[in-house]
Amino acid sequence: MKDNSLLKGALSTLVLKLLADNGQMYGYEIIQKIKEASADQMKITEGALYPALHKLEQNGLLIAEHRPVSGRVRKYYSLSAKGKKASEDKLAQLKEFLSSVQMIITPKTV
Amino acid sequence: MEAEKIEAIKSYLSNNGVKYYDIQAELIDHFATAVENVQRINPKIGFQESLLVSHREFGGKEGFRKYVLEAEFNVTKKTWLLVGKTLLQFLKWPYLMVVGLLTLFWTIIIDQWQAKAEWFFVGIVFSFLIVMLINNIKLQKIDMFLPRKTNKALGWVLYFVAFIPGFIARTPFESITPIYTTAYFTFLSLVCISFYQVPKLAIKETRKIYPQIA
Repeated sequence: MKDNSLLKGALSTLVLKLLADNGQMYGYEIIQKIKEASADQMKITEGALYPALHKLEQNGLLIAEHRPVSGRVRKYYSLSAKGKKASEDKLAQLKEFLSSVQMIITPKTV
Repeated sequence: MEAEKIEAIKSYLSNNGVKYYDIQAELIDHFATAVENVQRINPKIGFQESLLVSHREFGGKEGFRKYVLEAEFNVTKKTWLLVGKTLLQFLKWPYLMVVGLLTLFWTIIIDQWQAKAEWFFVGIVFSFLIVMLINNIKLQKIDMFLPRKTNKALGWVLYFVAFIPGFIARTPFESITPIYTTAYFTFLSLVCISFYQVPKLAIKETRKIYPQIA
């Protein structure tokens, strides 16, 4: 995907969905998972993910835990109770939005 | 990853404007994992080159700039929360005793020397500056952003609680009811004491998250 602006709007929803599916994840792992799941079609600028993660954490949707991993500290993120609810809501909104877009770009011919 | 490579990542981040450990920590892990991944895919690539590749994928200098801006903004919010928390402690026992003693102290002083209130105000501002200087000396070797930020916040507090009210009022203290002067001086003293404590609390809080910081 060359135009990243489409991804920007959906990034937090994708992060919430990934964490809902995988439990605890760290930043780099989330980036790799997005690339992998989209068969390398979605190339996010890695630096853009962290502000999104921190914002979700500040809004109480994510819980962070620091753990030592081979000489460094790794920050793991997981969904809070509020985050689980938000993940479902945002995903439903995104699906609704995508189906509306689908209706516009491929209108049914009568 | 070997300790010297982690150190090399730390210096690389510092040289690119990501200076303090509490801002760096998540990036150190990001780059260490990214470098490991690049070298796993292509074992012929050396450490330095894979670090450069990882930096490019992160968004280059602009990626760092955005990260640092956002991280610093979060730390600033945390700083003010810490300042607020420290001030609020004076509403609880046994700190209420300090408030009582300070109120008593300023009531006696203002009662005796109301005409010299300006000088006491200058004294409090001077105390703020002394606290800032002491904090600054203590923080010189502290490689954490949050404690440093708390001391910078003291400058703003000094401006907002000491200079602005004085500037707006432009009223000599002797023409103000002594009770207001006493309350104001007590409040300023509490803010000054809080700021002496805040960097210590910030260091403690940062060490709680990153216990490996020496």
